Amino acid sequence: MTMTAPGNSNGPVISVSGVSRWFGNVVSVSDISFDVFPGITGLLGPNGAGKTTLLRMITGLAATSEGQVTVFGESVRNNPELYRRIGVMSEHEAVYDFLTGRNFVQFAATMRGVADAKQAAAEAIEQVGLTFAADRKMGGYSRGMKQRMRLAATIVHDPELLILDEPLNGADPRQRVHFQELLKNLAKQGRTIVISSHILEEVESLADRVLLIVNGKLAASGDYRSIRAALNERPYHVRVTSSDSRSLASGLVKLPEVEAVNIDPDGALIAQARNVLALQMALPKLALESGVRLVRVEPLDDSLESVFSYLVGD
Amino acid sequence: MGTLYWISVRQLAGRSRMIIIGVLAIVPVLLGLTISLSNDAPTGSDLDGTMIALLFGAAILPIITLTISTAALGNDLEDRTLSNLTLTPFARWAIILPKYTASITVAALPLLASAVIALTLAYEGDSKAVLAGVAGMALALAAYSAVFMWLGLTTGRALGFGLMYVFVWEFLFTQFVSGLRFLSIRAYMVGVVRGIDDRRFADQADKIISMPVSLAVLVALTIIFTALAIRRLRTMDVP
Repeated sequence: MTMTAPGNSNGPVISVSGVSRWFGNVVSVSDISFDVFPGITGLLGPNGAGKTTLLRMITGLAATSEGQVTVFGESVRNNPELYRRIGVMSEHEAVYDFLTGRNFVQFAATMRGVADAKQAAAEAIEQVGLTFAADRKMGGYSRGMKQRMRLAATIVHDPELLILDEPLNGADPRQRVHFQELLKNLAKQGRTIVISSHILEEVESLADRVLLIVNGKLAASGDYRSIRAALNERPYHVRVTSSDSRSLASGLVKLPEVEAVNIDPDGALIAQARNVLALQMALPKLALESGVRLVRVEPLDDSLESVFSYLVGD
Repeated sequence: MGTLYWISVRQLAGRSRMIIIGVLAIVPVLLGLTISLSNDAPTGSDLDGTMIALLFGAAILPIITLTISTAALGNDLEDRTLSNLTLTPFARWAIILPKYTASITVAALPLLASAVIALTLAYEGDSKAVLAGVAGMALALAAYSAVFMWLGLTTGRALGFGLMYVFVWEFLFTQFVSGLRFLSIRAYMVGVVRGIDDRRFADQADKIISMPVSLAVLVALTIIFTALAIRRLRTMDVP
């Protein structure tokens, strides 16, 4: 596929201004504003945070209850011509099982007005590494293969803006790496890519900028590294089950990285530490020195929800 | 639009759906065959009432159309493939029209084939009677398809509402309240049939809506509900 460099513009590619969306009494997205520029932007948030609703408003699939969304400076709602410049991959595995992968991508190319749909489809399928399966019906594809073929259909018209909702769902580790490399290459060519995920690590290696959505609100935005640094400073709770919690606790409280130690009713030890990496290193060493056998070590607040709660100061 | 038309035909002509429609389409043919072989052949007015108004008009035609047309966009909504169509530079009418014509194609082939064979057998090869029946059904098919396609895009319970309209409103209510026939596609179909062949429905002539009115209303319904479907696709939130 010939990837042409998108037109240079100083304005934001996507501008979201005071956008809210409610369904009856339920507020799904509340007064969110941000701009998106070329490069990869990660839209992060726990399940149910409002990411998909926000993306649906950005792509024009859903109307806003309040506020305005513009893409390339134009209102995206009821503006079909804009879709020549946008590629959207929704979170749903929306494919036609009776079509072969090649026919599906070719159909997507035709629907987007690509002059040589056949050639464009072949090149897009090549990019996602599925040429070997292109002539098989999609009904027989694995979930990961469907996702990759959907990505091919998303990029087949060489769009300047890619909006991908949970695109790595169902992909195996090898496919994830391939997928991430492909997106990085597309971004290097000057494209704007918005990728949503509820998995922090998924976005970590990809996004230059992160938008954190929690409970329908924009909880944080900015450079990924600064957000990650803030995350590393938050207190972690680790539950340790061992052969002798009391001996281990007396050793742990002496460690500078440990802020507090409690023993729960089950006899397991709960350690609170700022620097979780240091605790991970020190714990086995301490157990060995104290002659204590470690049975189980588990983080108590590693979920994305707890990370976001920390960031928004709950 | 051609590609979308063929994809839609393929989507709608799923195996299980076509088996059900095939079975429905065979019923009038079997009845026609029985009538043609019977020694006590029914009179023309019996045939009009049984074959055209009752079997085709109140059952086969609306059920086949309902099954296909509510799925024309309803299936895309249900399996979430509608965004594959709306996230394209195509104007909304350019999505609706291929969908509409595809649903007409898939419904018309078994329905009209069944009508031609069944009516030919029942009316003993009377070509004017067959033409009147087929023309009335074709026009009603166009109107039903537009209405049911819009319904499929508007509600997830399109089949239920459609069945209520066909059986409760068109079949039941119009029998008791004569004025309600003006809100019945079936009544306009009968109007077209009688308009083409005035020997048909001769015993109910005073209750039949005139041919010009029937034609005008069926065409108007087709246009209005296709336009409503376009408008709906433009304003709705696509899942």
